[in-house]
Amino acid sequence: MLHILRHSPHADSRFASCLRAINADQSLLLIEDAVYTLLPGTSGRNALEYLPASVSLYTLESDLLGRGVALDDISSRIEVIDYQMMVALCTEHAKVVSW
Amino acid sequence: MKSLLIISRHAPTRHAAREALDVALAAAAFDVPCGILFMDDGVFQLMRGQDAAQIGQKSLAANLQALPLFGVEDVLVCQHSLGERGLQASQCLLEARVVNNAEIATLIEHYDQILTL
Repeated sequence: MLHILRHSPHADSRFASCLRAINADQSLLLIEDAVYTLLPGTSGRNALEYLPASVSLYTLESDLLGRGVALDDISSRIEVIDYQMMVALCTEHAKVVSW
Repeated sequence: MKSLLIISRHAPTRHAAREALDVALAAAAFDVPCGILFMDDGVFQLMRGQDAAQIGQKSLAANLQALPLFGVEDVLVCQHSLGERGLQASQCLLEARVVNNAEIATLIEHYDQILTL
């Protein structure tokens, strides 16, 4: 199962709901304004760090660069991917949930 | 003339972000005493190093930098919103005065009209 978050973590409760609904061995991809979740020193980033290590975390490089979120600041457990890899992720997973 | 405070609350990728800047610049061009307050996700507009072309958008940097040139008197940023997002005023691409909740309340009292976008 691939969960996709694309809204700012501050705007509404999607982020919190997704974290409640995600299971170990599932994947989470952060795109568009959801990449702001990855800024250091935020509650959203801390929440991601507490996810089980078996949850795979991904984010889209162009969305980071477009918003000025420094690649150097991204936690090592998050894999930075491009559009081609995003397509591959979507096809690899039997189901996709867009929050 | 009545003074105008624009509260810009949206991330730079949203239409409302550009609209808030347009209103501020237009008002200032017509000599309306005006200020702009970046609050909530609006503070993301001030992040340095945004490469808007990567996401097929036009950068807001030029519009932001035009604010003082057009005579927008107050360029303000909400302290609470910065803190929540792990940002510091020193990282902003524009010199903005950091204001706390009490100061925001005073500003809203001080300005004749408030527009939230």
